[in-house]
Parts: sequence; C-alpha cells; structure tokens
Amino acid sequence: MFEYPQTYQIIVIGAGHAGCEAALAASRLGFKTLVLTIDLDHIAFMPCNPSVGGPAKGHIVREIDALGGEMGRNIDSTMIQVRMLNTRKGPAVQALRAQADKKKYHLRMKEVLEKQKNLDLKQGLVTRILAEEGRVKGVETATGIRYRGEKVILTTGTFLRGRIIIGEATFDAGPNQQLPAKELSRSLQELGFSLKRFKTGTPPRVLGRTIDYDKTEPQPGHAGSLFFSFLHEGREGISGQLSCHLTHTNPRTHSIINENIERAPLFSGVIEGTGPRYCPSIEDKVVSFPRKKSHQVFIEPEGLTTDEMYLSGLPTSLPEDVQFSFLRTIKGMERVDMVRPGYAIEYDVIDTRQLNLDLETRLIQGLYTAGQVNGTSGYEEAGGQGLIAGINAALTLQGRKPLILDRAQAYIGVLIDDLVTKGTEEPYRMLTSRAEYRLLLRQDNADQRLSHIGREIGLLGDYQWELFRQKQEEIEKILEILGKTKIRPTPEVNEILQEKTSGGLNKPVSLKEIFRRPEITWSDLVDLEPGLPSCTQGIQTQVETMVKYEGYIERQQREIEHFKKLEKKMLPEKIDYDRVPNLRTEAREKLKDIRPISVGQAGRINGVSPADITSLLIYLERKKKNG
Amino acid sequence: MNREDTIAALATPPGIGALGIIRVSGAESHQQVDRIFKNPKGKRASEMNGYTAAYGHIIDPDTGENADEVIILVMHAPHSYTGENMVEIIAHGGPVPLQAIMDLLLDRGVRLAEQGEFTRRAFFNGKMDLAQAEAVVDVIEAKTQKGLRLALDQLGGSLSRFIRESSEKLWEVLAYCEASIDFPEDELDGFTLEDVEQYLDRVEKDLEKTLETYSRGRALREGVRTTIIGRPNVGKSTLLNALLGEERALVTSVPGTTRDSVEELINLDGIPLRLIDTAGLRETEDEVEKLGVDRTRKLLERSDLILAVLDSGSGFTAEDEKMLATIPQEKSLVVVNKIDLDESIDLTGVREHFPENEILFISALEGRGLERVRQAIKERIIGSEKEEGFWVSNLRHERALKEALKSVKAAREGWKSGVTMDLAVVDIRGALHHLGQITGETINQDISREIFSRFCIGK
Repeated sequence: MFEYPQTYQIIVIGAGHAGCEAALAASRLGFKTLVLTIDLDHIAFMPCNPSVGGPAKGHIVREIDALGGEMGRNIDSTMIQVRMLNTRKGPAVQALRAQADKKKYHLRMKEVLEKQKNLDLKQGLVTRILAEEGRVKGVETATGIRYRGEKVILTTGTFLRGRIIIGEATFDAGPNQQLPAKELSRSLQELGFSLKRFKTGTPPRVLGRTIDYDKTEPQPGHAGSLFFSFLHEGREGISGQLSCHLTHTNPRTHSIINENIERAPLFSGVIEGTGPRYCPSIEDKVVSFPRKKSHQVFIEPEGLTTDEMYLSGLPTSLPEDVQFSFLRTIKGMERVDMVRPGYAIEYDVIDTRQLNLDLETRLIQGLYTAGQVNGTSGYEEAGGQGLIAGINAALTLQGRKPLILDRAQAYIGVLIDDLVTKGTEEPYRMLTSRAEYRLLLRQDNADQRLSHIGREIGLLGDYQWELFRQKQEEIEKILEILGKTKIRPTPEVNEILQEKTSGGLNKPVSLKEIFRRPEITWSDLVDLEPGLPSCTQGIQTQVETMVKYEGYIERQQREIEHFKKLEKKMLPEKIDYDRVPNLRTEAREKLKDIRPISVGQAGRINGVSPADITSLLIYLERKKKNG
Repeated sequence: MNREDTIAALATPPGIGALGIIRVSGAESHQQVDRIFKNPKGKRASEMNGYTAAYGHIIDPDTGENADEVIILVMHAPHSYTGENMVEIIAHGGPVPLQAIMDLLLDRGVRLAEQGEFTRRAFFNGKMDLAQAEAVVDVIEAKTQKGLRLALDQLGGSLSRFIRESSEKLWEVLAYCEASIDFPEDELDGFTLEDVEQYLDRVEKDLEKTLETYSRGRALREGVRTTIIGRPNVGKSTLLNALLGEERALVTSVPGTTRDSVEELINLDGIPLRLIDTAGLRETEDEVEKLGVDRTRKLLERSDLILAVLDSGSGFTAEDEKMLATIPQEKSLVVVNKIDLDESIDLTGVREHFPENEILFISALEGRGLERVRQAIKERIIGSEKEEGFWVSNLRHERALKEALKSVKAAREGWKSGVTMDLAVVDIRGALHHLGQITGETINQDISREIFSRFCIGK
C-alpha cells in the first residue's frame, strides 16, 4: 500500500451532488480537502431526470444557495428550460424547476471543483475506510493508495454494492453502468454499521428525432427572471428555452406490460431492495392502479448537444424487448428509437439512525455520511446534506459548534431531522408536506432564513451578502412606506379599486391595508400611488407575501415558539436512559439507540410516547433540583 | 404541553352541591379573572394580595349578563397549589352557573386543563414529588362513578366512530391538496377541486350537528335539567315528590306558594335527573312572584326536558294554551295530572300544539301512571334502545369539536373566498389536530402514506 505524501484534513468519497457540495464547503472554509471519485467524467452527473427543483426540492436548492453552496449557481448557468410551479397554490409552495443540460451541468461543476483552492480532485475507487479506536484516519483505494485524513465524508450515492437489473439481465454496476463500489460496504460493516438495501429506477432514453412531436403536447418554459441563486436575482431570464412534451400511455401499452408481467424483476423476486413510492415504475403503476387507462409521459431533453430524451413517468426494469415494444404503442413514439433501456438499481444504504444531527456517525468519530447513501433520493436532497456534512467537518476542525438547522429554519433541517430521528424505510424524497412550518419555509425567503448563517460560517461571499443586505433594507423601506402612505377615498381611487372588483374606500387607509386584499397586486398599488419606489420582482413578491399572509405567518410563528421550547430543552450527552424511571421498554431502547439531543427530538422518535416524554421531563427536572 | 398558558377546571365534582369551585392557574390567571369579575368596590384579582378573598359577580363582558354571585380567592406564585398564580372562583354549586363561568373563561383564551394537569404543574414547580402527584391523580380517578363511566365509554365508542369518519373526509381533502402541491404535474384521479368545498361543507355540518348533542350528552354527566311547569296548583310539586319518592318541595294547595324553584336530583335508571319545580307560569301582579316567573322563562330556555303539567280537574284553560305555545315540542312532555278527580279534560288544544307527542295521564297523589312517565322521560333522553345515537358528553370533547369546527369553517370560507391552497391546508390540518385530540390520533402521521395510497403519483 502506497502512503500518499500529502495528508488531508477532509476527504470526500464521491463527487456526486452531495460530494461536490461537501468538498466545496470544506475547501472554501480553508481546509485541505481531497475528493475521490470512481470516474472524473461523472462529476455532478444526473443519472436520472435531467432536472433540478420542483416543490420542496427547489426550496432546498435556494437554501443551499443562501448558505453559500454551489447547486443554485450551477443549474442557473446550465439550464435549458425553467418553470415556476404551483403559482396558483400560494407563495409558500411555489417552486422553481429547471431542465438541465446534463453534460454542461457536469462540466461546469467539474471546472468549479478543479479551480477551487485547497481542493484536490482525483479518480480513485475507495475500498476501505481506516479507523483507529473509533476515530477515522483515512481511506484506501482499489489501486493501492492510502490517503490520510482527519475527517472523511462518505457520499457514495447508489454505488455501494450497486446492481443493475434489466429484465432477466443483472450485473454489478453503479448508475449509468459505472464501476460499483463492492468492497466499501464490507468495510463499513466491519466498522459496525448496519446497512439496508434500497432500489430505484430510471426510464429508457430515446432519440428525439424519432419522436413525432405533432402528436404530443408541448410544455414550454416560463419567461421572466427565474433563477435559483439569489446572486442572479433580477437578471434577465434565459433565452432560447427548449420545450418538454407530454404524451400518454394507453391500454395497448398496459396490455403489453401485463402480458409480460411475470418477466418483471419487480414481481419475480429478483429485486430485493425497497423502492420509492413517489417514483413507481410503469409496471408498478399498471398493476397497482388497473383502472387507470393511461399514464402521463413527459419527454424531457437531456441537453443542447445531444438528441437523447428522458421519458419521465416511465421508469422500468422490464426486459429490454418489452420496453421496446411498449414504447412504440405510445402516441408520438410509434417509430421511436430507444438508445438506452430503463433499469432498476439496487444499492446499500446506511441506516441513518446511526448518525447525529450534524451527519457525523456515532460509531466512528470524524466520519460523516451524506446523500443517497443516507437513503434519500434526489440531487437536491443530496446536495443539502453534502453541504451540511462539509460545513460540519470544517466547523469541528475549527473547534466550533456544528451547524444543525432545525425544522422551523429550513427544509434541510426537516430532511436531516427526519433521517436521523425517524430513519426511512424507502428512498426518502423531500415533500413540502413534511414541513410543519411550510408557510415560513418559502423559497422566496430562503435568504432571509439562512444568509446570516452562511455568512457567519464564512461560506457566503461578500458580494452575495451585500446583495442580501441591500435587499433587506429595501424590503423594510417599502414595508414602511406601505404602512405610512394613506390613500384617500377619492372617486379616482375607488374607480381603480372597483375595476379590480375590490370594494371602494370610505375613509383613508394605508396602502398596506389595501395590499392585504387578495385581488390587489403590486401594479395596482403603483396605480394608486405612482410615487412608489420601483423594486425587483423578488422584492415585490416577498413584500406581498409578508403583507397578505401576515395573520397566518404570525400564527405559525407562535407555533414555532412553542416548538422551540422543547427543542431547547437539551438532553445531557451522557444521559443514562436505564436510570430514567417509568420509561416504557420500547422507548428506552429507541432513546438509547438514537440518542436525541433535545426533548423535542426525542418526542419525534417513533415509539416514544407523550407519556415517555413526561417521564423524561420529570427525570430532568428532578436531576436539576438535586444537582 | 405548554406550561405557560392559563388553565381552568372545575375542582368540585359535577352535580349539585352547595358550592362549586373553579380553579384557574397560570401566569395570566389573575388578569383572566379580572376580565369577568366585578367587585362592588372595584377590587381586581391582579391587585389583590395572596390568600385574600373578594366578593363579587361573574359578568359576561360582552353582554353584561350576570352568571353568578361568587367569592374569589387569589394566590400568588409560588405560594399556591400549582406554584403558579392562581384564582379559585367559589360559585354556587349548580352546573348551570358553573358551566357559564367556565364558558366565559374558555372563550377568552383560557384552556381547559387536561386530566391531572394542576397536579402535574404542581409537580414541575416543585410543590410535590412524583409519588404524591400520582396519589392525587389516583384519587381523582377513583371518584368517577363507575356505572356512568361505563355508559359514557360506550357512547364514546360511537363518538370516536363519528370523529373518525369526519377525520377521514378531512384526510381525503388534505391528501388531495398535499398531492397537488407536491406533485403539481401528476393526474389526481377520483378527487377534484370542487370536491374540496363539498367535503368541507359536509364535515362542517356534521360537526355542527354533533355539537348540538352536547347538551344532551352533558345532561348524562351533570344531570338532565328538567323543569316542571304548569299553572299554579296543577300538582307540579306533587309530581316532583312522587318522582322523588319523598316530600321535598313545599306542597300546598294555595296557588303561588312555591316561589323559589326547588331543585332535586333523582336517579332514573342511571340517568341523573335534576328536577326543578317552578313558580307557576302565570302572569302576575305580585312583584316577588313576578321575579320567580321571569326566572322560569329563563329556566325553560336552558332546560333539557320540560314536563308541562295540566290539571284534569280544572280542564284545559287559556293559560294552559299559552303555556303550550311557549314551550318547544321537541323537549317537552305533556302530563295530565289529577285523573283521580276527573278524566274528561278536552285535549284538542294539546293535540294542536303537540300532534306527535304521547300525552301522559297520571295521578301524582295516588302514584298512578308514574312508571309510564319515567319510561317516557328515559326514551326522550336516551332514545329508544334501537336508535344508534351518540352524544358529546364531555367538556373536553366539546371544546375540541368546537375548535375543529372553527378550523373547518375557516378553511371552507377561505377556500370560497379564493385563499390559496397552502393556507387552506393550515386550517384543515388544524381541524384534524383538534379531532385527533379526542381520539388520541395525531396528524403527525405520515400524510405521504395517504397520498400514495390514494393517487397514482410519479412521473
């Protein structure tokens, strides 16, 4: 074994969406960092859908950006279409979703990593994690290099004992038929980790020029200044957007699938891993919802320099010939040329109940895990965790307290709390409905929620921080003006209001009061008071939300105060649960296992009842009294 | 558990006693009582010294209505049972004033204490150790009447079934909304935007209907407020005594002697009846008696059951006619007394007002027909055995249902007025949370399970 001459402070295993954020955060905070990846040509690769964002996921990207991460900037520079989803369902759940040029996305991220100071990027297949007396020491690769490091961040995605399944054919592989990491699983088990087996899948890719687009429904992008990164707010929107297209399966498609169902690995017992419910394969959908006569298929371009199309809605592990046959039954795809079959992939994941909320493992000090290896799915979820793991590895080296975002601060906080406190039985996808304080965790205010944290850690650059401060000042100024400006009930005013089917005034009221009305928009305010200072769309939206939602927001804020009380009640690190009277056995075991940091977190563990929490509170109170 | 809010509960057992005590505890308890307590000299709980008392009235600040004449006893933290600021309101022991006082408190932000919460707070504030705390809770538990509890448990079963049905509907709406938020491009079959309003509307009506049963259910716990009315000397007190089995009310043949209403509690096969004999329902010049008559009117409004007594001997009079016109058919029973004297009373007038009701014939003096009266009362209160009904009988449930109703209403009204989905969902979740407080189910359970079992999601 060759001992690499350079000792690193932080080593990141994997350069997917989690690994990239982790490595960038660690090196940007000044630590000598190494990233090892199986294949340098797959950095920040998108093995599944060529898109970033959507409800909750888009929120996470904005949070990553506000903390000083890279994902938002990367997609902003490489997107070929962008849409704002849920525009009519309320500001809290509005979300950006962009189609990425997947090649460009990879190349740009690779370049950012290569240019980053303190960061070394190398190709290497890690086979072993080195640890002594419960502390991580470094890693070894398949080609006989030993790297020493103080912290190791494991972001192996779906590579651990990866196995691809296409009908009767199975082979050991990582995503997109890269080399799998076969030995690392054993190394983890030797260190004492318990692993689980998950499964996910991807649809076939087809050649665009073999699709009859006239038979499909175009899904164009949205115009306007739509960007993930707060850095890009107010910039002119991207031009030359590509369109996605919508078509549908039909009873013929379904009957081909049904006729071949015994050849489906999902039902024949070949697949052992647990798959995600929110992303079922087409064969699963056909079997589980037999009365549904058709399913949507979105045709999404994979980039500007390729004609490959991603068929969203059709993940499958049916044999390649079945895929070929059912594809050609779909409207617009009668002569389609399939260039890559869909496949299922099984892989090992870590049971995240073995982690602390800072993403460090409890078993091995200095070892962090993030991303799909933690049982999540999605690039955004991975990126969020990677960022936190990278930040926390760095903060610990600085002797600072780790960053733990709570459920009232960020979707990233909800995500990690769910993983660590509850664990997950299937690939975990972030949903807005998982957030208790959704009205406050909006995509428009991610900067308000997190910029100061990014700044304090040292990740958020001067320029972005200055932009943020200016924006806040402007928002405050405008809110003040809206509150102070009184509109008098003149005939002109009432005419403007009535035109918007809004009731007329009979006494002077502030612009803010008028803005509360659901039907009144910013431009109406300008009509009423032409002297209003102009401001960006982003600021208008945020002010509007703050004014219109005030009552609801205050309500959630009160709930949060309530929530924080128990979150702030910390549990001593060395608490001996065997000495807490009246705990039920199940709760005792779970508490010992998960070791929550606060009473609040303890209450969210499955199997810990409110009565157990009372017993815990009683114990803490008594201990405090007896000293 | 929020240890900062102010809680209140009845400290004395439900039913009739000479006095009833309501305890209020929490940092704001003094100020809370200030809002409804009026002392002739303007004393306020928040300005009184610890362990001092003041006389006064509990007044509804909105209507100015007087709920009861009370003494309040003020305690300052940490020198109180719970170790917090406390007020004990010592009122008259009937459920009517106590309920009114509780309502005034609870409508203004005081929370109904959970079972054993005073003791728990006392424990947390270092006023007692765990063993003591547990002992107190045991004593509280032991006081509940076993038989009644059993009956209520059974009714509770149907109540939970109803709650589950309503929750189920709300879950469907919620799952739909959440699915369409989190999966905006998926097709959600089997549920539409229009269904949202329809479901909310339905749940709102169901909750309203259920809440109406609260008075019936409360009756089981605290006693059915039964008022006996009729012209002077038709035999109201005799009937009361006959049902009671002993002489309690002053029985005399001079009209108008029973000036004050007399309240008695009897046990009718497990149903507690609080029988109230009233001054005769008759317009009168006598000022003192008029007071009694006014009170009667008020009593009728608050009664769960009215026994309207006619006198077979003196026939059906204009006054009887007037009486029957004032009382609501659905909670009244018509009893014709003194059939030992004369059975020839003309009942055409009665039938006119009460076409559906059975008319009961008795001789209270001889004890004839009383069994049938008991039976009729029972049927009126519980319904026939076959009828599958349930009642909200417990104040905690009533409060939770009221809160749930408030949330559903807010959701429906918001939805109608174009509030966005992310906001409507807040109220729907609120409603589910309140309903869950009754059944013990929390909405923290995974909504995604609901989404994926209902809709074919995934693109």
